[in-house]
Amino acid sequence: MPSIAWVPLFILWFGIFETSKIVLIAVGVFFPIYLGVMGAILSVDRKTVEVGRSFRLSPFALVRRILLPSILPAYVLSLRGGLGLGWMFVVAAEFMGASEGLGYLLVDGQQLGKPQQIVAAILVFAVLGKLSDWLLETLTAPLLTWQDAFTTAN
Amino acid sequence: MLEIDNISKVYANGVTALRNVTLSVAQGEVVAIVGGSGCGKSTLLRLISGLDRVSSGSIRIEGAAVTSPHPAIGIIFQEPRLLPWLNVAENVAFGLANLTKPERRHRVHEVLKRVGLRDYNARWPRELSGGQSQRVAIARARNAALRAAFG
Repeated sequence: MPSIAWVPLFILWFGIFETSKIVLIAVGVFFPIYLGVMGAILSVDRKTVEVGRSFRLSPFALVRRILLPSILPAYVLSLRGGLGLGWMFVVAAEFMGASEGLGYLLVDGQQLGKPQQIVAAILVFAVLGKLSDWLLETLTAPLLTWQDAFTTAN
Repeated sequence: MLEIDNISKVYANGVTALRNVTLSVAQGEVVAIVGGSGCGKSTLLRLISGLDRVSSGSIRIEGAAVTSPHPAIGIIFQEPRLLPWLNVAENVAFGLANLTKPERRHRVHEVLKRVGLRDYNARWPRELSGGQSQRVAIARARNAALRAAFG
């Protein structure tokens, strides 16, 4: 179900201030990331899990020492996708009933005929999006140096 | 030490991999299982190692039925199966979680020296050749088995 459909309900429940926007972004981002993580878990190599079993790891240790490291690259990728999606929901949330913020500037620029304001807001979104993605990538890179993969990132 | 009594293994897809296999191996004995492709060699080893369960019959190690991987048995797979997110030393130490750090480091050093990979501690699995990877896997399995032997 499209997350933006929740907006009127969230505004009713959580008011027109920050809470409803944060809930919208959280709900909108949760499921794509959840799907990504589930997909990664389902594709964890049986052979790797057997290595864990051969050392008699407990189910908890199996998750911590085999499953989580195995899915880490896919998880990071999901998070990056979710981050981009999160920015989209910021715009969507601010389109509806915000009195400040970049999304509000977009609407305001349209209603008052100020294209330069719209373009400026778009540019700021672009910079923020790039910056947050770069930050996430930089923070997670040390955890992924072991990867033996054809690098597509950058 | 190892008693295999009339075991059979039928996989979920209906394939009968082993039928009525009986075998016993004494302490210190070296046994090679030889046969054509798909004749059940790996199945037999998987059953002995406790990764799979027998369909009928029983496997005993020192009198105890095998139902899950046994602490006295180190498993070396056909392909190395190193954990790619751990370096060589961490892979070798994988089964040594309950040792102290210095003990672990010492054990890893010893066992890597024995397989001829003395200065490879910090390498990633992806940086090893096929043979080197398998030697690390042997070191890892030996290590676990040694731990069992020394309690």
